[in-house]
Amino acid sequence: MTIRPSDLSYRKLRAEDDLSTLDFTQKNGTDPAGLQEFISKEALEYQQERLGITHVFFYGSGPVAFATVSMGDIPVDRMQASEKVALAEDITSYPCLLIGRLGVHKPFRDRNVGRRICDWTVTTARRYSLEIGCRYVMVRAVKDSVGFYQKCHFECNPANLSKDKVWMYRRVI
Amino acid sequence: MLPEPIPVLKGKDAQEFLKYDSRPLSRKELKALEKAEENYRQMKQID
Repeated sequence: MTIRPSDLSYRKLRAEDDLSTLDFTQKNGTDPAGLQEFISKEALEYQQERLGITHVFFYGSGPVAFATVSMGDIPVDRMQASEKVALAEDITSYPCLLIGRLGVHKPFRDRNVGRRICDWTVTTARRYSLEIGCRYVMVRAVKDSVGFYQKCHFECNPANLSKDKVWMYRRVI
Repeated sequence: MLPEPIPVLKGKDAQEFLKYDSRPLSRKELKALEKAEENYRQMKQID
């Protein structure tokens, strides 16, 4: 069953939250992005040190997903040539909102939760961009996630597709 | 609310504009941004 945007609510991670019982591993049980380890042991410290703020997404009263975001920049040479801004030709990277981690609890996969979170990051970045320069949302996607981000309108330089992690980006303005 | 599409310039104005230009967003991209905004508004932030 597809999850509608109005079915979801969100807030920042709190010390009392325990997401360690949720399953963020891949279908085959592997965890190439380290999501399980991160949300169980590191997310709160990252938040306290302002390395990344984790937002927890709820379906009803239960947490079903999380996204950790921070400021970032994406090197121009990791993007397609058409993304270059003539005005800023001496700039080697463009400002972005970085999705450091994005995890959806296994029973809620393929129900559009991840896409809703991508919409959330894009609109958050658009709003921040009025106050702080921000042109893209960016993620370094593991191979298995590239297709998902493409469905969410993220692009990449095809030359980077063979790498273990692919720089993917979506314009927000 | 998304900004209005940039008007098409011609001649000298267009050359001057292109000097500073970047790729304009496609209709598909603009529509996806509108949809993202709409979905965002429906999600509830808990304090």
